[in-house]
Amino acid sequence: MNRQEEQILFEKIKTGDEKAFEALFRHYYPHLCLYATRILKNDSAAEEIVQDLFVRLWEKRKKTEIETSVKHYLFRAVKNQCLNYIKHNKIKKDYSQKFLAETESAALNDNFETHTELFQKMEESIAELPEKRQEIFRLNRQEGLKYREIAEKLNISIKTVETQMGLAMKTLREKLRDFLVIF
Amino acid sequence: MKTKHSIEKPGWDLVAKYLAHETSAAEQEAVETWVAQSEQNRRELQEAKILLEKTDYFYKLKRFSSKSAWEKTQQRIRTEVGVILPQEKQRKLFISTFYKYAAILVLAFLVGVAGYYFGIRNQQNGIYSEIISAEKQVVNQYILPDGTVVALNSNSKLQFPKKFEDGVREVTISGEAFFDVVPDPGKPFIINAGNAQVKVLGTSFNVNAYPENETVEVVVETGKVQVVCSEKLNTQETAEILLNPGEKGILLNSPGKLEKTKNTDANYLAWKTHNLVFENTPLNEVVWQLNKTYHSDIQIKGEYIENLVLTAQFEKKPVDFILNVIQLTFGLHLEQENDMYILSENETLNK
Repeated sequence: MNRQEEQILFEKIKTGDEKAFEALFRHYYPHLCLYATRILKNDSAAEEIVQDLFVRLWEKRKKTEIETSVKHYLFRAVKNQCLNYIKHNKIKKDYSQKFLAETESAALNDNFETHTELFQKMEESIAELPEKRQEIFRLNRQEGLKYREIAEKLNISIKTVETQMGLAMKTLREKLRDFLVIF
Repeated sequence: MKTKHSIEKPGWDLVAKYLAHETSAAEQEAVETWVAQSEQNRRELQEAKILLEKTDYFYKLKRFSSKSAWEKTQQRIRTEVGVILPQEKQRKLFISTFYKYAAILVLAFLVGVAGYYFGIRNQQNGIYSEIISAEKQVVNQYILPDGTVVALNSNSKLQFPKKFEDGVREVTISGEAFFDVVPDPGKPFIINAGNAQVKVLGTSFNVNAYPENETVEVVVETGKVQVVCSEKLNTQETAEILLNPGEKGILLNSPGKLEKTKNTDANYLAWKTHNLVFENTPLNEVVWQLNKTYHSDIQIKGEYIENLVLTAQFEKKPVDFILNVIQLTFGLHLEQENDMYILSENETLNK
């Protein structure tokens, strides 16, 4: 979704078009949640904040004017809500201006629009891996388990984990090659 | 054996291992030596590294399901206070039953399989509302004035004020319900359930408080929940416990004792979700669970069958589908009489 498409979408939302609102929601939801967890380190709080934000946005859609871009608006709103949440719940952590500024600019600069296609392809490619291989790969990459831990969990040898990880990477690289731009 | 300074291209298992920081010193050196050999090699490793970074990012985003979040949000944006929403699977919407306090509208609707309805009534003072589910009827989704979503198992009653005021959201439950509470730090959400008072610090959980049961059970799905024994009978006992996801709090009504355990029942929410997991479960337990979940009447004939064990998962399947699977898996005989199913040994095959 580029900036102009977003603006058109937002105009539709203002007229009460729920489908347009859903499209905006689905497009941004995981990204905004991920951003909020970087600040809050808490998945469920992050999801609550983002959902609340969208509910309020819908309620106030007629009055909402977006001066920058929809993307900036959403990320900024999430950040403010996270800060409120921290204040409200008296969470003591280092939320220095520097940390917040860096997190925000990283989130905004992350050009995830171009990732949509990659992630789709990735979803397919991972789903096509043999079940066991998929599980091993997921345990390592998503859950951060060490090879040894995976071997214990699945009752297989570490060597098998190594082989399966290698095969998973080989396949994924072949399938996703076109998306891996090197600078 | 690999030599220490191998200039061969390392296999994918070694590359993956290297990028996962799992290599031994010798292996690490082998990869790095290879990388140092040419620009081409460096790029190849870099590409692999980017691949992993992207998959990690992908997995991180996957933690957040737009689909279920949208369903929740959609409910909320469509809900004006007190309005009942048609459920996803709902087929019919109709008005039924009146309660004894006249002049009050009772809405009922069908959810999923036929025959489910529930009523809301306003009491005469007009401050409280109630949702009541009857025998064999489940209310899949009801939205409270604050946006909190409640599902009510059969034979249950939830009482709540039409408007949450005075800095607290307090409801009373008899029976079993699942709550997905909208967080509001300024307004705690409190559920009175028998002798237990459940205070919500986070989001979603299941409360089982049928008056005829000896216990009140609270199972936490997400967030944090505090359970307080409101009628302290014995001051020696714990008066309150804090529950985290996956934990279960049990209050024994007499003698007012609070306990905390891990929730081991994978099917505790099946009444709401119709998702069932069986792992080496004896068939008599499977049938008990099915009857509880679907309000069905399934019977087993024969000890041999009772002790067969089933390992299977069902996601939102109708009960006859599951019975067919069981029948085929074990080569049983299944007959249906009105609303009753009977599983028995297939005599022609076994004798």
